Amino acid sequence: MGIAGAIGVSAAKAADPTPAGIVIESTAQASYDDGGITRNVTSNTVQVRVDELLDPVATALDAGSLEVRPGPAVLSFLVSNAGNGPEAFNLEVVTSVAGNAFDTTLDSIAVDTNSNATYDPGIDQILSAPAVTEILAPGASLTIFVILSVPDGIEDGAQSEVSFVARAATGNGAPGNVFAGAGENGSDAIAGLSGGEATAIGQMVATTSIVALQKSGTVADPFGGSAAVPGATITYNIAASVTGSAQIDDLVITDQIPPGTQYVAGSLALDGTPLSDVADSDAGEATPDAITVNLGTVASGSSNIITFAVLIAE
Amino acid sequence: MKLLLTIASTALFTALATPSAAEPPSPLELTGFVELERAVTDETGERRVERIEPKVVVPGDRLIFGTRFANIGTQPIERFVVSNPVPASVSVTPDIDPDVLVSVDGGKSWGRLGELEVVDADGNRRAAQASEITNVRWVLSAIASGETGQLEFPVTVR
Repeated sequence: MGIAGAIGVSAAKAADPTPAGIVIESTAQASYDDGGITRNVTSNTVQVRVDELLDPVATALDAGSLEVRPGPAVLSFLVSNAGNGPEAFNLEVVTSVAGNAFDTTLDSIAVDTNSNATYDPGIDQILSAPAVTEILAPGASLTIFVILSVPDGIEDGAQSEVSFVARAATGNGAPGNVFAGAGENGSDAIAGLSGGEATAIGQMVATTSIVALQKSGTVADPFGGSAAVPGATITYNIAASVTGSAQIDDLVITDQIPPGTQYVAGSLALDGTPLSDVADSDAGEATPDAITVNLGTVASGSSNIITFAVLIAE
Repeated sequence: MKLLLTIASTALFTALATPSAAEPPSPLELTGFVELERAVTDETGERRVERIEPKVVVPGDRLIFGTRFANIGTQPIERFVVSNPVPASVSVTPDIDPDVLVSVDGGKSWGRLGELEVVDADGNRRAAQASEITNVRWVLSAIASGETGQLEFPVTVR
């Protein structure tokens, strides 16, 4: 007699869910034999309105941990509407997460306005606080950039997480919570299994390096000895070494000419190669007051040796 | 203006005076219903399914569409056939009674689900799936006077 037997079928959600507000109607028709005459009867029409499921999905888009250094850092997230009604989502970024070796500071939240998966300052729209996305159609998604400030003084390899939370603007709460009349087309809205809220974790690892400078001097007097007497020459040796997991950019080494001495013209050298004293295309410059060597980008694990000489005034 | 009003009144009167149906009152009562199935855990920790009024329905929910019938006449009703098109936004679930007659082509051909085939996009024939059912039908040889019953089919909201 068509009585449903098995129960407890899992609530599998279709890939393309029925839009919220749609009314499902069903009508039965019957025919029977009445003394040789076929008669027809139509049942009442039953109606079920499909309500709005609030079901955001948040995903971290960075592969693994994002390598960061003190200064700005940008994490990428995807917010998707897995519900069946158009919905905007409130965004929250929590930078203080248990287990963090350091906490970042939230600078701003931006939308990938030009859909190129890269944060473009001045082009990608900053969401003013409190950050709310545009209304996303069912199945639609949006790439969000979280712009953070990474603090100074963090150790190489230190890790930090931020929690990125998207909440349905209509409401969130325990799964099954109903927001009467708040759904699309007069339907109710109901928090899905996610509770109308989704969280993604963005991970960062500090890749910092330190520069160590070690300076030594060798004295040669006019008499073949090493006495620091007037007329003696001091040859200074500065070893600059970079350790850590990141390269160092724009590394410039300067050193003052000590009082009572004068720079020996043409003595400046980098790794044994002489540098001209004038400011020109090579990395070095020497004036009566100081020497300057621009090492530019220095890879981690490498070291450079700068040498120059001064004469102890007579 | 007066003429127009007179014509309208006459038309109304005619409509009221005409008998709306020549047939005698039907001995068959047919009432459609829909219920929502929801899994609940009772106080003993046992999970069971209860049927409730579908106040809030979202994609993935399981509904039971059905028809209650009653023979309120004094004579038996014979060759009783009930047909129900499956609404577009729902999908019949595989646990439908295998003996119910179904159609997967909008009611052109009928059979038990296990006997029906469909032609897929590659031109290959394969067994029809419950989700492809477009119509359901029950055939009862006779309903005695005073007999009542219920016919139903389970669906999930797409």
